[in-house]
Amino acid sequence: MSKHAVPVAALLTRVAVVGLGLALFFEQAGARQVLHLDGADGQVTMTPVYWVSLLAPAFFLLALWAASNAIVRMDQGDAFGPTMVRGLNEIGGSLMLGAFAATVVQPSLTFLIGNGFREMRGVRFNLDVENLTLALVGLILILLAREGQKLKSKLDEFV
Amino acid sequence: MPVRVTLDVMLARRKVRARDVAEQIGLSETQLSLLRTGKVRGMRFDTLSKLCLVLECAPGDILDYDRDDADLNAKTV
Repeated sequence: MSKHAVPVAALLTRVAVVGLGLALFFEQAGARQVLHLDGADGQVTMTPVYWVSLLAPAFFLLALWAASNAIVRMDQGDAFGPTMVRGLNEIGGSLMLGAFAATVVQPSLTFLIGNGFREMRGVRFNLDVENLTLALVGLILILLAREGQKLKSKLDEFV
Repeated sequence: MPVRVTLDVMLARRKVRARDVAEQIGLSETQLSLLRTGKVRGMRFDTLSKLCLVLECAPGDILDYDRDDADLNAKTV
């Protein structure tokens, strides 16, 4: 394999992202049809909920895609270089945004859509351990990327 | 820093140009210039051995140390 070819791990990750994205889309679309959510009454209130439910998984898939890019950069020997650090920040940021969407945005918006934006009493939370763990892992990734960048710049001062 | 790089002296003794040495040991001219002026945090052993090989000298011919008692209290990275 040439040096600039996409590594197998990155390729598999990208295929998995596309597969998971399609599966998510068809799963949600199927649920809409089974529950007749696009019926006369349901269309107004439930269709936006469908799109809101895609928010967190979309960020998580974005994180996976960023991970495949990071694998490519690692294969090219870019250990904690600027592009690698940016990639790690992208993964961490996407994980945190996805977790935030699943924990706060999704429950709040679903509630708001459910009552037709008539009332909003505080912010709704969905404190799942999985999402909080993902948010923490994302944060750790960003912090690790910063530490790695510092170490790399120190190492670069050696000739 | 009490450790001084005396590469300039060795280059003059051997009558070689810094550019040629840099090319031989695989460093850029800028990196070698930084090394000569002591504007680096340190030198890798492989760089040191390449320099010694090219200049036919020992590490002590390239590096010198000015005694400083404060070195014992210096923070290790």
